[in-house]
Amino acid sequence: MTRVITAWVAQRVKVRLAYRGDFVFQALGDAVITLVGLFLIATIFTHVPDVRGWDVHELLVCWGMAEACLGTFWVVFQGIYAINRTYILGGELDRLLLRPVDPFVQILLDNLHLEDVPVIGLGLVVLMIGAHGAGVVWGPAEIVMLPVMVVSGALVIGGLLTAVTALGFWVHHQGSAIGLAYQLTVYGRYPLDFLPRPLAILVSTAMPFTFAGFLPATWFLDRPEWHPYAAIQPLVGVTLMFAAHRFWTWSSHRYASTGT
Amino acid sequence: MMRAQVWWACVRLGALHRFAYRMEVLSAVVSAAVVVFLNASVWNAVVDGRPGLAGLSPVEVSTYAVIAWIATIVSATRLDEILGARVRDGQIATDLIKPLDLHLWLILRDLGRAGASAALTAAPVLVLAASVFPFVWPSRVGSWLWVALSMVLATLIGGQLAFLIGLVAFRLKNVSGLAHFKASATAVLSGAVVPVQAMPDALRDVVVWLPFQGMSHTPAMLFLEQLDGAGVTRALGVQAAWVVGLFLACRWSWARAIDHLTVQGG
Repeated sequence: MTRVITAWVAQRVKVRLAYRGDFVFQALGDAVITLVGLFLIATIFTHVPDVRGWDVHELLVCWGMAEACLGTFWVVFQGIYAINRTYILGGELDRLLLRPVDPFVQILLDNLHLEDVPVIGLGLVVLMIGAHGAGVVWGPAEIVMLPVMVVSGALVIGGLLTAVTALGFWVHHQGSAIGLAYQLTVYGRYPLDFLPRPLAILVSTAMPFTFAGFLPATWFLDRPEWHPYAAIQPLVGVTLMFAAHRFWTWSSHRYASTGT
Repeated sequence: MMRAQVWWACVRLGALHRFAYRMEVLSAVVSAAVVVFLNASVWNAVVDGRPGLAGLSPVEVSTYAVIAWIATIVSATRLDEILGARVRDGQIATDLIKPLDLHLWLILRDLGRAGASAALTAAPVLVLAASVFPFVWPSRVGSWLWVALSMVLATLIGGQLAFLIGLVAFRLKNVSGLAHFKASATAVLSGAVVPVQAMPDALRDVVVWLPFQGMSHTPAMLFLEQLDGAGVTRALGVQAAWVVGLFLACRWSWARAIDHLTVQGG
């Protein structure tokens, strides 16, 4: 299985590097969006020393964590954007169902988006800069949890959007539902007490994107009141992804080929 | 008279196009609400418990954050991607043989698009945001008139900037990357992300000489009634001057771009 996956990734790299210019342009384009966010934070803190008790270093850690989770999500889960159009409506799923590998995994591997690897790096750099300023001491608990939390954060986003995508088997034209759900991830970047109450509740329960940014970030900060929530974050990510995958597989039995 | 009817048809079709898909109208409202609420949340948290920021009171900062983003949503357009796509798939050839001026046609169609977007997206999001965040409405009826006029000019600025970006497709064949870059740059330079008066001095000195501030800072200042009589005239005058300047730039670039056009496909 590992050999299959390695071969798949290698193939994907070759395909992408065939158009080198486009590859570079895409990677740059995503970085610009990040710079806009950093510009916002930098400007805010030229005016005020803290925002509702959070200083610039703490916000950078939240921001970097959210960015690293999002970057990982983009790299791994790009395929779910293609599920509805290409695989369900286009009937491409036929091909995958004939192979002895989980069709969902095949879709992800076929669509790995390696041009977003720099986004993960950028997120980690921002997180490190913030952590340095906030005086984070890197003990074993921090070093082990960082990669675990980045991956789990990606699973939170990936799990939720996979569930939304699975709806496509039931309602063929789901339109922009996945795009709308994705947009809510921006709220995960900021401390929950920045948000009006209804929004804070939304992103910590029904659409728990705060587990892909703010909450895991608090693990590294001197904010013990949030640590219990941060500690269960890996569990939330794995559970969500597991449940979403089950739902997806179950829904996929409704798939009817287009006959192509 | 005949011509006026033709041009009005362009505006009307641009608007109708937006009404066509109900689900798209709904998702436009939701996605606009997401970004507007985020921006308002952050700026509200910033001024919470403080006397104000860069000459604005807390409630004015909150209102600015809402209005500036909504103005960008109305005035920012995907016209560059539309024009780019027409060049990429060769449809531009049929556009050129129509007895219509492509530049004017796209700009007027975009004005219709913006009108529909103001009614269907901006208005509901505005009401929602005003009920959730601290918000101050204009005290004078006249201010609404200036805001409306300013939004028309803002749309004409945004549309023609996008047209210029789209013309790059005549040479590069692909403008989607450039269009995304422009969208991010517009959000920053227009004042939607950070109010112009709160920007770092060096950036603000540049921004006041660029057309982007006319796309959201000017309507926001008019909405907040921050300008006196002469200030209103001056702000609208600057916007109008950019509309004329960009119009000339579009005409000139358009005439040159046609010389470089390669029609793709058969």
